[in-house]
Amino acid sequence: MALRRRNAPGTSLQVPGARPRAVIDDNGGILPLSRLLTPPVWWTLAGGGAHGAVQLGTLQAIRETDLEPEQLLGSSAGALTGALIAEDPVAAVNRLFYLWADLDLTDLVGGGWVGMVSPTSFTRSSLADNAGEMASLEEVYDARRFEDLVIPFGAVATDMISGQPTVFDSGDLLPALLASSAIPGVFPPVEIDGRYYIDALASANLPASLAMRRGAGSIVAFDTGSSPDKTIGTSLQQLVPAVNALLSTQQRISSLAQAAAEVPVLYLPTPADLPGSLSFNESFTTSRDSYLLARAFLLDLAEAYPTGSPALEPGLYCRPDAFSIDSENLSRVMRPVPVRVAAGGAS
Amino acid sequence: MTHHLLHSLPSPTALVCGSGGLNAAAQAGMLKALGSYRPDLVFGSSGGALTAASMYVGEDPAQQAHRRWKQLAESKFMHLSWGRVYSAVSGKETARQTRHVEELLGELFGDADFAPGAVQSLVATNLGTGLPKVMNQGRLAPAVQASAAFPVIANPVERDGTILIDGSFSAPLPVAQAFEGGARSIIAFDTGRAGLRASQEKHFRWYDVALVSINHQVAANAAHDVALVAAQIPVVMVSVPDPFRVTLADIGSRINLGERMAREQLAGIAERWSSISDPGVYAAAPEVVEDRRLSGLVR
Repeated sequence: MALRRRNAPGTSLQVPGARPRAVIDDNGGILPLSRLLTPPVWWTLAGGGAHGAVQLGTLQAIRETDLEPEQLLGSSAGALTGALIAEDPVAAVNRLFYLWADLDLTDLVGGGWVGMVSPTSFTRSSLADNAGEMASLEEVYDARRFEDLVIPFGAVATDMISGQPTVFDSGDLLPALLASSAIPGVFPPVEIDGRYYIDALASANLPASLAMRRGAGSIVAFDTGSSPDKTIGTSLQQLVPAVNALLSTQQRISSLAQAAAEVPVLYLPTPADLPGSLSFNESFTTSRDSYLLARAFLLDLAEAYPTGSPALEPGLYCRPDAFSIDSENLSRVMRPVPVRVAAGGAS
Repeated sequence: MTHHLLHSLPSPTALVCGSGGLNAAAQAGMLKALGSYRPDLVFGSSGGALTAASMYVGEDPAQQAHRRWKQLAESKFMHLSWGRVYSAVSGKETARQTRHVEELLGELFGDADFAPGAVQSLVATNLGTGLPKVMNQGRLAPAVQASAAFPVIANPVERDGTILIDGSFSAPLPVAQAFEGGARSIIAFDTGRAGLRASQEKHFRWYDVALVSINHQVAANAAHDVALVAAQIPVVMVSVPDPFRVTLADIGSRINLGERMAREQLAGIAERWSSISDPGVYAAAPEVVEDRRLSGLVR
């Protein structure tokens, strides 16, 4: 599947129209952008199931700049990626690349996918157990405690009783990652210190406002992209995904709007034409498309704010077309970065 | 004391009635706790639409809202049957279901219109754009129907060529719409927060967890909207959390609880403040005061 798309006509890893990097700066080809962000710089990573592969691409693009995280905060799939960056920031891109190449649903839910819905399933507390995911986590991460990580990192989960977003940033790492990605209904709630936690999607799927409240000087937001709008329909199969998309879009917009009112937020662009969030076998094209989009955006940003520009003021720095929804809250804080560089092959 | 406090709010003051399904019945009791105080504007969404729509149909809004919530309790409206689930899943617009809802709302509001001068607004969600749709003209009944069109329980409603569903998916606590509508202070009836007990979690089935997650998402969006608006104007919040699975039989006790909690919370706020003019969240309920999304805003 990936090979067919990779060789599709019109696909190119060139970025047409971009000036050679040597002309932009004399930084050895590394885009100098850290000059624009007030420390401490927090990277916040959103959840999104298989759409998490978007963050591999954006991470590849950001590695061509001099931006570094001083703190990481991740929700759900973003927590899994964030912990990997925090464990080894240099190796993270390569490790993620090979992880996503291999990953499929059975690594998460085990082989029992088919037997999940059965007469007995109505009395269970979750459709799948999380033994499969725990085994995968133990295999992937070397760190066992937050304190083992090189960069300070927090995983966001939702307190199942109060609904409050909760940040785990000390003690055992793997249960916190399990809680952060405990998809409601699919995986069981995770008990930590006598309380039950579910997926961060229920309270803070893009934890930008949490990062702002915890003292970020500026924020880089790694989102996870979206699927094209389906036909508007009134049956439950059409309404449930539509309502889900509505709730999560609204949540990320208010989180970004609140953060951007106080600090500069760099919102890396993400593809809007992704397959479903459980389609793990499309991760190659997903990450490639987001790499190209993010790379073009970062070049645009460097051109719009050339060397000598002061540090960015509070606001949401994004592509003009980053959000499909026409929100008042967003328009108050948006500082669109003009698109000069076409994202080759990302169409 | 409470009366004096409410009158000190910068005008125009909007009463904002939030979502919460049947737990929104508590708002009828909350209205009673406000006594003879009358807000300048009223906004309602989802369950709160029923309260907001009752504001100008008679002399005593609290009594009007009380009567309508009790009428709802006696109806078959919320009765869930396999037939209803089947019709929702299959996408069959069962004319019978829609007719039941229309008949009930006809009984509740007759041919009454919105109060003139855009002082009364109900909010639904435009399914096509995902944006809130504010309705403040024409007949009340169809607007209530759209604002409270929660999937499975009621069918989506077509209005002016758009498909409308329950307001809780875009504006569960329509404080932002009240602010845009000119309000310079807000009294918010917050009934959409999950108020679960720790003992419940052990008995949760997977579909309960999924439903609670949706409830938390809706409440998170409400809290974010409050945070954005309370940075600009004062927002007084009265809260009765939703204990999950409120049934028609509980409506009477929810109304009583709403009245008691509102009296307690308003008295608590009035103890600390003799008048209110600065932006921020003014609340006494622990679940609001301790809400991390409002930290730095709660006074």
